[in-house]
Amino acid sequence: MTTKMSYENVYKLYGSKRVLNKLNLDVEEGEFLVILGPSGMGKSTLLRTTVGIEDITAGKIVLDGEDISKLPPNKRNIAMVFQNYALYPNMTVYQNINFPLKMAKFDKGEAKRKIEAIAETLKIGDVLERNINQLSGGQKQRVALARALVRDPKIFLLDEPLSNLDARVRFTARAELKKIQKELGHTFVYVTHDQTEAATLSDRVAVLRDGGIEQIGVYDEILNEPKSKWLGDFVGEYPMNFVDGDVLNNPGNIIGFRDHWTSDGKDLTGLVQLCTQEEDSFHVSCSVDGDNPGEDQDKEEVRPIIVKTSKRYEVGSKITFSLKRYNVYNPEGSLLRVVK
Amino acid sequence: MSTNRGKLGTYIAVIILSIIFIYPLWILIIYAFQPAYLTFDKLYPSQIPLAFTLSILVQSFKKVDLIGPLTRSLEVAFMVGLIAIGLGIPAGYGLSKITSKLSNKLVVFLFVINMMPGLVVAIPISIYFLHANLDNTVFGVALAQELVVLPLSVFITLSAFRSLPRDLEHQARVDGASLSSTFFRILIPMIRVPIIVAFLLAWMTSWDEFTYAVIIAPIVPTDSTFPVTLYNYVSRNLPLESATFALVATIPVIILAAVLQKYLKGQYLSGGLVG
Amino acid sequence: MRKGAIKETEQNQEQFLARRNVFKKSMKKNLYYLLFALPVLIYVIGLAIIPAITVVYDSFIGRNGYTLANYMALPSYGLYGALINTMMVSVGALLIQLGIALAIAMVLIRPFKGKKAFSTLVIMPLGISTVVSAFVFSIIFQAVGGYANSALVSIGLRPIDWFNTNSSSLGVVMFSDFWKNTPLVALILYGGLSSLPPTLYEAASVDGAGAFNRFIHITLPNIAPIMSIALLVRGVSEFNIFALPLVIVGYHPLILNTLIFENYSSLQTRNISYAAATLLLAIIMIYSIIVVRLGGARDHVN
Repeated sequence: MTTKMSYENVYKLYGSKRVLNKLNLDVEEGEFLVILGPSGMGKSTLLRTTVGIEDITAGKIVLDGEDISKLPPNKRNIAMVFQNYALYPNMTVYQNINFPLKMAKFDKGEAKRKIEAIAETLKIGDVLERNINQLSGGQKQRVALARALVRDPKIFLLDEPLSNLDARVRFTARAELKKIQKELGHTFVYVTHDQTEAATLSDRVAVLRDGGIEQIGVYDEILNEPKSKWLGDFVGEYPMNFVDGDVLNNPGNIIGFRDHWTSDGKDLTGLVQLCTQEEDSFHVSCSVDGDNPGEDQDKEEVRPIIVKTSKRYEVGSKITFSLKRYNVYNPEGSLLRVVK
Repeated sequence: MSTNRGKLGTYIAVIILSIIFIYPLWILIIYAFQPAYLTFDKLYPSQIPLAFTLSILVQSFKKVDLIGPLTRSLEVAFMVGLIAIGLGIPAGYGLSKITSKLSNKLVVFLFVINMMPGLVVAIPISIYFLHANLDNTVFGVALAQELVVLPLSVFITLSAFRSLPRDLEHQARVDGASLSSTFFRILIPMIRVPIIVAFLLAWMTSWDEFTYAVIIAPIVPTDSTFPVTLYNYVSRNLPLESATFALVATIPVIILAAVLQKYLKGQYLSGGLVG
Repeated sequence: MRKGAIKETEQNQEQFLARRNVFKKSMKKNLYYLLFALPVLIYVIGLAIIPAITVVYDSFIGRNGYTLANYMALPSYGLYGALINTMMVSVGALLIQLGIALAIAMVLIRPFKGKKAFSTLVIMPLGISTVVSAFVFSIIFQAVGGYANSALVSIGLRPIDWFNTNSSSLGVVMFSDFWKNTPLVALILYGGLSSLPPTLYEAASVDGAGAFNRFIHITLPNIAPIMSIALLVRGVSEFNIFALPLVIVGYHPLILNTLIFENYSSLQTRNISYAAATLLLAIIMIYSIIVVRLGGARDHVN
């Protein structure tokens, strides 16, 4: 694998606020990289500075060996799909897709051929002459994608392109997007706050926190071995459980485990607070004996431990379980070791 | 409101107001299309037409110059409209890019300047123009009248640019468009309706404008715009010719106003001061 | 050694970031975009502000330098009459316009048959040139061959010499002005009325308020800011009224603008005309400040 694009010590300041704070990141050729992070962590800013509609304050963005951070957007040869699609309302679908080609001074015949080919791939061949306001949400998303794909940019940036679609359309659009990216072999950088999108679309995931990369890797790796407590909290359908290290002979440290890492056993005991059924299993919220959440300075609120079980528990009853695996974090929240 | 009595009251008010608003135009028409012995020469002329003639019109065209001033007015109005959008579009664009606190202050400043009495400004301008050989010229009158329309043009284009989604401009840049292509191919086509409105409002204002025109181009009637020339004919006591002239100058504007009606919102007409 | 070097560059970077004045950069950006508005600003300063300053300055210049002589001389040119007449026309026309425009807006806000035709008719005067309307009204009200008198006679009343007295002459001017400018005020007020939520009236009706009470307690207070804007826009134009009285009544009776116009063209009286212009400017400024202060229009400006 070769490096397509790299960010080297990139800073972006708004006033004194560091939206990007010494960000370092390599994007590999042909990969589908998902930038995941809660809102306000600099995800969109990262894309906007990459494409050039905002300047970076310091650092370098290198694309194909060339520092592009001082170039204007139209000289960077990067395509981007905006969250709201930003389709030109005064043009037809065809004219929208044609616009980048027109700007690149493509031959008319060749442009037509390219547009028809991409329209075929994205199944929008029959709406090419329509106006933008006659399109459904899913069609708009495809047109925006087609406009990005039609020329041959070096890299594609997508800013939460599926967030405006309703759930059913989003599901198929996701599958299609992944398929197209693999077929065409393009490099995609995709920003989202949606865990499912990150899990299903990505080759790799980079989690953004406070303008820097907290961890980068395959989604499952981040899910199972998050490098920090914050990551364990943020990544995954349910946040990771954290208990005092004392309960498993790790005094002074913190134990982190996912809800489904529990097994039958008697290592931990607790009191059931709530039990909900989910298809063929139960989610039990409970406290854990020996855990002292009050000492945990990071916790803003006392959160119950959630474990997955195969049987129903009554509220107020006692629960005992063991852990198949767990992670040990130091009091500062960094991963010390993985215990399997 | 007890409905029936209220409805009747509404209709009576509507009818009376309708009569008031249509009456002057009616008088103008029956004055221009009736022989003089039924209108001008009569002590108590009839409110309804009793005869029809085109001779007043024909005679008027022969007797005084009507085409000259109208052409002159057309030229001035088009020039005022063009300058209005020519200066208004870049100004609106620039102001839409800076902090709205500052741009709002500048727009208010323009409107405040606009409240100055026309005569206060027009007289010194006429002296400058005299030195610059701009007095009694189409360009000179247009330059002066531009002051009246400029704040509104800037306000309209500024609001238009502000209403555009920022990302469209970004998208165009990402799609490879230079700053100027983005401006001319994406932004301008998207605000063409407000631009047309700004042009037409400037055009209509110029067509009506009297104060600047009479000061900048007062001397020879045919050298001036239609309102100044009409004033000249009225003060020379040429009522029949004036009526013809007034009618000919009014009909195209009424048609234009009817076409424009859906755009004539209070917001524009109150000079952008309605929030 | 190497570690130290890295630390040093990091320190440099921190210093660089700290030095970097982002605020200054955003000001720079503002200045760049202000350039686009520069032509308009230059235009307004060159062709409005500087001329106005010239007028004010020259109004204090006499044959021997600074003087108040121009202002002292104004009464002999008919200043007091012109002042009173200007006030009368402005206030009178403003009140008539506001009243009738409010009525029109109240009518337009409700659905009724022929609404579209009526609104087209109401807008029509906007498309008719001021000089044209002045001319038509001078025909309507002329003593001989006037249509107003022929209407009076036809219902058995005596004809009136409309231009015989100052007040009736001003009345004709006011009426013409009402005709030409009420549509504009009506449009502004209609905009204000139609932005009020209908639930406001429904709630008041449920609370047992009759039509009159709804008008006094709901409509008026809620459109007061818009009314004050209309007052500002139209009031300033009323003080500036010029073409209408010039065409209809000429210089008798005088108003401030016709006084200025009568005297500007000769060099002897130009500075006297400037003194009157300065007075007019002052009146308009005072009026605007009062309206903005009292009416709360400021909150609604942009």
